[in-house]
This record gives sequence, C-alpha cells and structure tokens, in this order.
Amino acid sequence: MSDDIAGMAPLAVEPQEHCPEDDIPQPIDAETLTRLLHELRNPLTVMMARTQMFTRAITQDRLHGAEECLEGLAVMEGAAQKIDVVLKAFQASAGVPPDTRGRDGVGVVRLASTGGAIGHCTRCIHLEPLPLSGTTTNEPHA
Amino acid sequence: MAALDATASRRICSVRLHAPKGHTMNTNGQQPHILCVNHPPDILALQKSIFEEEGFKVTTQSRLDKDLDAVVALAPDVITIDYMWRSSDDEWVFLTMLTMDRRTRQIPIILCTGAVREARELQEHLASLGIRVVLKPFDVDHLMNVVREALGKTAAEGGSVISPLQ
Repeated sequence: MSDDIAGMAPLAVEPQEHCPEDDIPQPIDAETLTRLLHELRNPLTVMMARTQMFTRAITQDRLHGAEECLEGLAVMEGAAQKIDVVLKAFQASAGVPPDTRGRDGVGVVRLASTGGAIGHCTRCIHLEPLPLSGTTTNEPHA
Repeated sequence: MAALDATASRRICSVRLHAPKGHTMNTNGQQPHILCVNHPPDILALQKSIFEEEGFKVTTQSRLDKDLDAVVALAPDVITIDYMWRSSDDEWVFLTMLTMDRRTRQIPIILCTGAVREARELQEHLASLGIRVVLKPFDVDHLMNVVREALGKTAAEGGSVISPLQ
C-alpha cells in the first residue's frame, strides 16, 4: 500500500485509560486496507472540491442567500458522513473498541506510506502504521 | 444516510453559483462541451458544478454508453471518465475504439479515477493512447488545468500524465 492521503490530520483523540486486553487490535490486512482507502476517495473528493468551491464562492462574494449556503454545506455534510462510515469500518477492522470509535465526530486517520498495516497503541485509539511483520504491534506511542 | 445523500445530490443540482468572468472556450471560440462519465451520483453532480461554473456545457452519464455513434452525436470537446473496467473488458475496448475511430480520436479523454493502482499499471498504455489521468481526490484547479490543457491540444498531441493530488 503506497498511497498517502496528503493533508489529513492525525486522529485527534486524547489518550484513553488503558484499552481492555481483549480489545488489543490486530493489524488490518492489506486487502481490507486497500478497500477502505478506495472507499474514501470519492467522499474525500466531494468534500475537498466542494469545500474549495464553497470557499471560493464566499471569498468572491458569489454566494447570495442562505439557501445556497445551506445546500453547499449539506453536500459537504453528506460527504463527511460517508467518510465517517469508512472511518468506523476502518477502526472496527483495527479492533478499536466500539465505545472509543470516532469520538470526535469525523475523525481522520493518518496513513503514512510505509506499506505497513494499521494498528493502534495500547493506551488510546491513536492509529499508526505498523510494519508488515507485525512484530512491534501495539506499542504505546510517545 | 442514503436519504441524506440523495437529498444532498438533488440539492446540489439546483445550486447555481454566479459564474466568474473568463470562461474557457474550445478551439472554435465556442462554449466547450464536456462529457462526464462517472458512477457515483455525487461525483457526477460535483463535476457538473465545477464545469458549469467554468462555462462548460456538461453532459453526464453514470454508465458508459458504448455506442460510438452516440458519442459522435454528442460531439463533446473533451471526455472525463472513471475507471470502470474491473469486471469487464468491454469498457476498455470501447475506450480504445474512441481513441482510434477517426470521428472521435481527436476528442481528448481524461481518466478521472480513484483506481490509483490500475491507473499506474496502465500508465504506459494510457500514454500511448493519449489519455490523461487525474487521480481522486483532486484539486479543482488542477482538474481544470488538465481540462484546459486538453482542450488546447488534440489527443494525439497530448500524452498521458498521471496527476496526483497537488
């Protein structure tokens, strides 16, 4: 897996109390990761492009009326919800406990182009790429 | 979720932003016509908004109409198309025919797709067919630059350029 989603912030969640032993996540297999990443591309495209167009329209004073604004925002909200759905699936695949998934709404997962699988530290749901060997999984991050 | 998406797609179709000055023209100095083929309705609605805002006449298709005569009748100045031939070679064959038929071979084709691996694997072949590539998620300005550049050249002059997110 060599794709990096540029410009995406890490999942911004404060460290939790220790994750239960049973919920220590397993790395996502490459096929699942590829599928989830692919499913992100269309909603990300809509979100990014609509935001860009909406911002441009506002700065150029080309949006007139609340209805137009609401329509533009509704489309972005729809895209954000799709991203959230993929995120939930992603986290579920990584073994993140359900009660800590997507706590801050539309969380975004940072995917470094390491070719590794994804797991998260044992103290929180901060997701990090792991080596393919999986020998260093679940180390708490710094 | 689905209801919200459908509502959002319907709503955005009704959005009419006030178009800026300096619209793109085709080589005949006329309003350019773009044919957008993409399966997800929200992507089609997005492309329609982007290109209409730039002054294009836009025709959208959720499935590739594999009829050369139909494409000739539409007479688009440029075609954007998603990668749709995972399960069948028909689309690929048709795309190849588009680039070879004397009636359509001058129409620039832009592959606008999230199928990154496939696009990279096919890069050389796409280049040989003069098909440009824009990968999702794309920057609106980048997409427009590729379309404008395509409008300024024939497909034969073009060449394939894999264009990742800028």
